[in-house]
Amino acid sequence: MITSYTYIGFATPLFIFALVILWFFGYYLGWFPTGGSVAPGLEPGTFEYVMSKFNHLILPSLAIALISTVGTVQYLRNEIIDTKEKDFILTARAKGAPKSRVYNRHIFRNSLLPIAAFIGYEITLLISGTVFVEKIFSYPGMGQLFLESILVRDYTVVTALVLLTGVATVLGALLSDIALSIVDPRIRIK
Amino acid sequence: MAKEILEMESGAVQDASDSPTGLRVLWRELVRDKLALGSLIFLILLMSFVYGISLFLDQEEIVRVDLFEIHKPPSEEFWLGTDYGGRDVFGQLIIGTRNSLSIGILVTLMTGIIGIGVGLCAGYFGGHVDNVLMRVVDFFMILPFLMLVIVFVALVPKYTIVSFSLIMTAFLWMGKARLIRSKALAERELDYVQASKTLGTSNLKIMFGHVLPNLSSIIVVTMTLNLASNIGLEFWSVLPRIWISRINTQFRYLDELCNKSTNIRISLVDLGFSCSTYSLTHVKRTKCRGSIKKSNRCKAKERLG
Repeated sequence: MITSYTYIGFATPLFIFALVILWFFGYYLGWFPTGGSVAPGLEPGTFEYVMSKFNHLILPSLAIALISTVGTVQYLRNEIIDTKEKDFILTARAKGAPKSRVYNRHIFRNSLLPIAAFIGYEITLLISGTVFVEKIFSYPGMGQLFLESILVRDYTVVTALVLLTGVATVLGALLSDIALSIVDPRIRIK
Repeated sequence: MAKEILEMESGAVQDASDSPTGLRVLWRELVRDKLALGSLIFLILLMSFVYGISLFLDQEEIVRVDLFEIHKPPSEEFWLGTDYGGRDVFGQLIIGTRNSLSIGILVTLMTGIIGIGVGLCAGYFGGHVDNVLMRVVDFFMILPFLMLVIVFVALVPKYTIVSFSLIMTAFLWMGKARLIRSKALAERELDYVQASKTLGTSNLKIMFGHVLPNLSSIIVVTMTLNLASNIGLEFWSVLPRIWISRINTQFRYLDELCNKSTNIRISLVDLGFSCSTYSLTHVKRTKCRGSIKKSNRCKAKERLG
């Protein structure tokens, strides 16, 4: 089931998926608001204000999360299949280690490498925003701010945003390098 | 899952006994996995259909606006009807799919080559080489993709599939380089690399002959993931409102989808999308299994010899 989820999620473009869940949950069922980041007319600081913010966040974050986990699942799955065939797993099983332990300690630990390589990058993406999802949900975020400030030639805002994403990228790269050497202590980056 | 593993194990046992070539392993896996075979056939049919038909289509004719033919339902002349500009949707679909597929495949291949090369060098040599190459990667990553694409599309006066793919490649290879480097860094510390080095094998041979096959699974995953996203890539070009008939026709139709009027067209494109990527993953996964076995066999041979 998980495999079919990843294939479907993998094959669906993000903007189509975002539109579908916007139509289904926002319009057809009417559970969630379809745009903006907060309902109009609410006093900032009150409990309703916070809840409304949260309510507006659910759909866009769901759209991004469901699509972008696909990559992680695929990498992890392939790595695990790969690791499973290695000799040390056989040794661990032969020693009588329980299956859950073999999975959690031996296989999982050794399969984390590609995810560690991307973890910093993902954090950068969080800061720099996603243009399409923000556009579709008309959510005022970084990506849309960036696009709009390019279109209206607002160079100061563009510069600030580029600087911000640049710093985030460098920090992300550093973070994933650190994560790499934590996940696999054999890796030594000087 | 369990069945798959069993299959893989039985395959491995057969491998050890008669040791067929990599291609034969691949073929046998493909025939056994019905879904993969079906999707491969579907993909080949789809591609030959799209590329074949597009030979007979005149792009100028299709994108010409005809105000008397706006929003026609499907008929014999227009198989899928016409859009708001009176243009044939079927023709746009074919040409769009062809362009999308070409760009997707081209970009994936080129980013793959650059990413694998850079990542493998950085990971294998480590130290200063790694430092320098990774700073180059960092530099490219910092550049805002969205803005540069807008700049380039505005700079290049008449861009074709090739030039567009080149622009995209220049800003999309970094992720792959990072990923492959991370795995290569781990791989170079393993004993077989050290043993090969001690025996005096040249660096190039270890890199491409020994380390690369062991990275195959990760390469296959990133290539397929990228191919999927790259096929939808060229709608970036719509940003500066330059319009060549492309699959982003569907992007234009999105407002119509909200009106629930003509979603058949969308689902058609989308079906093509998903089926092709779906099948690609399957084929690639099979390939991946084949190559893993092959690399294991190589390793075993090395150990023996």
